Amino acid sequence: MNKDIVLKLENLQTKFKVGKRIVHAVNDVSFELKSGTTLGVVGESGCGKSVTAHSVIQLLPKNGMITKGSVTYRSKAGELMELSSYKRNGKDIRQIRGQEIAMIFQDPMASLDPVYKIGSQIAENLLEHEKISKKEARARVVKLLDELGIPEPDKRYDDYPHQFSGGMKQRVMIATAMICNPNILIADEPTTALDVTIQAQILQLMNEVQKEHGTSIIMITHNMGIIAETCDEVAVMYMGKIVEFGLIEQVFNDSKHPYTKALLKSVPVLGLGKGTKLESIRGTTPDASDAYEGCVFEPRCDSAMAICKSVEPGETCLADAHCVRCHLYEGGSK
Amino acid sequence: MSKKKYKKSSLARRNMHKFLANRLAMLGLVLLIVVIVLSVAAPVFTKHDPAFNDATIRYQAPSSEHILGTDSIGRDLWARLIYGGRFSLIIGIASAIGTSLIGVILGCVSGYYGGKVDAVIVYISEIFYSFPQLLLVLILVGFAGRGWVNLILIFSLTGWIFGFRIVRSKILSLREETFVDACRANGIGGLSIMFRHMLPNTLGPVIVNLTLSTAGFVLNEAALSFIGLGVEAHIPTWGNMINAAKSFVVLQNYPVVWIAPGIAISLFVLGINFFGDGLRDVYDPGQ
Repeated sequence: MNKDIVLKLENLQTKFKVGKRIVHAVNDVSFELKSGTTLGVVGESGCGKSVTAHSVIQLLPKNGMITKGSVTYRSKAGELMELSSYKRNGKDIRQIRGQEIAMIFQDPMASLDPVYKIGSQIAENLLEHEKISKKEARARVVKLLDELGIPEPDKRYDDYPHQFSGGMKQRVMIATAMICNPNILIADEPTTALDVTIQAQILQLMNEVQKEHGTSIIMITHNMGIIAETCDEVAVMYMGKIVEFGLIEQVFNDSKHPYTKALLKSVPVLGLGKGTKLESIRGTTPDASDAYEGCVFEPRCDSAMAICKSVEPGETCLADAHCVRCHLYEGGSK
Repeated sequence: MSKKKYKKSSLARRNMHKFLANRLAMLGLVLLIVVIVLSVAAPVFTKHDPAFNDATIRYQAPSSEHILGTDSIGRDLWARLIYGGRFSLIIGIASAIGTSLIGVILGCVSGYYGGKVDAVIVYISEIFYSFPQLLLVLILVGFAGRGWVNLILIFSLTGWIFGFRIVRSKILSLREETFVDACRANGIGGLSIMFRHMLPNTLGPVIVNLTLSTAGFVLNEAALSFIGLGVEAHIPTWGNMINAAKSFVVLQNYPVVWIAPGIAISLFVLGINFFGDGLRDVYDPGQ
């Protein structure tokens, strides 16, 4: 594995058992995350973006399991680790979580334990992974809170979550995630629950944190604007598969997959006339537990061909690691 | 950065104000304090020894020497009443703490791990639940013998299901909270999540249950001692004192002998119920 790659997913497949049905949440996902860069994972609800991220650190619910593929991680010390082989909730994976790969969640309101002071919640993570005294931990937490723009951090350390606003709580969550200085930060829709001005602040904050610590970020979102703003590379997911992967300019300016194109067309733009209708993708996402032949997007695709109904498209790589799963591009670029 | 000082709004302080405004709860608290102070500081309030008997002064009416008079073997009733409170309270409170401990631990484990562990613990609790508690207690007292320590153990062993149910159901809903996922994502271990993060979130209803079950166990002790299966007869408890009313002569002729401990029990149970209801209004407004 290349030295500047910190995380590599290969043919990852995650399934959920729901009653007797098997739901294929993540299907054959492969990507590489380069050190110090931000990878965006975008797609509509239920396309498997969060499950992909949760699979990386084995944070799946009880009925979910990784059935195929591998997750290779390069630790801070430079060791290569095979995360998918670790026992769920075992000691090995717990040492990775928080310390090497940290995560922030969608809803900062619900992500903090209401009965503990926010400072001690951040410090808990630090004390879990490093052998330092409580006093040192407090000093480090206060310093980090200050860096993250929380006024009077030494006082606010002793406040409870209900005394914080949503944006402040998300700052606290970022502090919790960053306190051990992890290699990778997985942000699972970090700004969805926040209003727009706070969104911008939080995204900028994450950007600064990345610059300072060299953290790699996986940004999961359904917001194309956030992807364009923050990411270096982007993976577009549909029905548990990455349908298009490439550098941000490639995917946005030269999108290949009909799904990506449709997705970009359906983003509302400021100044769109009242009379103009916002484009949407026709149909709905199919049931992930159904077996299907051919391309998953075929029923909703405007450029579907006869072959799409029966043969599943493989990955076609065009120039510069710009890869797409579509029959339109098989056998050379178009 | 503003230098303005902001006033800390403590949830505990807000809850306390709410509690203080509740008159019935305050009455309960006062009753409780009176009963507890009388029992704990019993030697201050009487110069008589509750075990000292003098057959020459049987069934005396209340007088300045013996505030409530004397019982069938000439022991001072007032002394027995307040010393008896000690044992009744110890049994009630210790049993309530015991049941809560067992219930909380099993509830946490059951709710957090789910699956087979949960199924087994729930089955066991249902076995306990399907017998009337007093019947189970009677059987166990039959095996273990009388005595206040035995009584505490038996009450704890048979009464844990109520606390267990409360904690389990709370943990089941807490398990789906994002902050539990967030803890896991930070590499915090299962035991720590269970007891340090989830448990404190369930404590409100547990404390309410603790107070209300104290009242229940005081009553249970009285009932068992009344039928002669509770605490050994020489130890003064409210139940043992009421036991005297089994004699028809006493019941008819010497009402103070059984009315006094009866009122003590009623006041204490009433007090703790008011107090517990007040706590419930504060911690568990959904009820």
